[in-house]
Amino acid sequence: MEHESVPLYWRNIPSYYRLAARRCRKCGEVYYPPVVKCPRCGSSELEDFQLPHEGELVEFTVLRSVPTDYMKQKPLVIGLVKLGPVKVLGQIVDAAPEKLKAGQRMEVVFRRVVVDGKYGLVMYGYKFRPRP
Amino acid sequence: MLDSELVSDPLRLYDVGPMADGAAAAILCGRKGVAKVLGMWSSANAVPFNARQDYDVLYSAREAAERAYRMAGITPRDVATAEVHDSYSILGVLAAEALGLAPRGGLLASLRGGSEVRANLSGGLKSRGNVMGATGVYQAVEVVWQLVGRGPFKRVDGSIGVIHSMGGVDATSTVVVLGL
Repeated sequence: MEHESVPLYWRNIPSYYRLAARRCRKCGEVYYPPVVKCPRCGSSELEDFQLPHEGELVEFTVLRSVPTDYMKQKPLVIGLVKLGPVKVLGQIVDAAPEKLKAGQRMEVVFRRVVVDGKYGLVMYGYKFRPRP
Repeated sequence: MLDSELVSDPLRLYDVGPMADGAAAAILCGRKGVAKVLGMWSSANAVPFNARQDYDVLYSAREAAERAYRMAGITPRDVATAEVHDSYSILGVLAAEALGLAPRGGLLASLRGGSEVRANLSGGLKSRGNVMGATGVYQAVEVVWQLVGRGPFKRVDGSIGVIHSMGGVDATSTVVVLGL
């Protein structure tokens, strides 16, 4: 299983590391992943918008069949977390899936996502964990 | 199926259409053929997965079906058979509902109640396998064979068949209405 290319990963660092979203100056809609044009009103005037680092778990699933790069982390818990105005899809760590519940408070943590053995690149990004 | 290994809760191995190799062909011609293309439409759902409000409706399929039905001048009641994109078992259910073959959230209940839902008589992507680009052509061939009663299919009761093909999870859908 191939993950995303190195140039694409580098371009996406602000959103992966800092959860940098974009907000439309005209209609106020917030987009994460960021967009260059507002799909709602068509405006090209968007500004940076920092997502909060705490939110609420909307729903989650447990991936038991995972891509080869993620074998060590099997099974993967993938969840949808509401951070301020948007829902963000991401991995949930430090939690037993049977103890997770929709609606519970979650926080953002900075973690290693995957190690590209072939090119020696270590990719980092956000993950979620239940708020202690 | 319920004993097969979990892939992603609650989907199990046999909920997933296997990747397969295959080829299909259909001849499109201006002369009188076996079946006619009565209507077709493609729609996209531009909202990314994480930003959606509902996860139990395939909006691209619903819009493509409504427009293709209107073009063909038919209603869901006229559909004798449908081949829908069920790369995962739940997507087949949602696709059949989006095509109007059952009310939203009502397909499984109507099946349990004994009603007949004539979708994926071929077995769908789950049984045929997902042959990616060739899947839509397979569906077209299967629907025509069901309309004319060519083996291995029995002839269905009616003259209108529908095919639904989808890219991603409700990212893009194409619906084609075929008639004798």
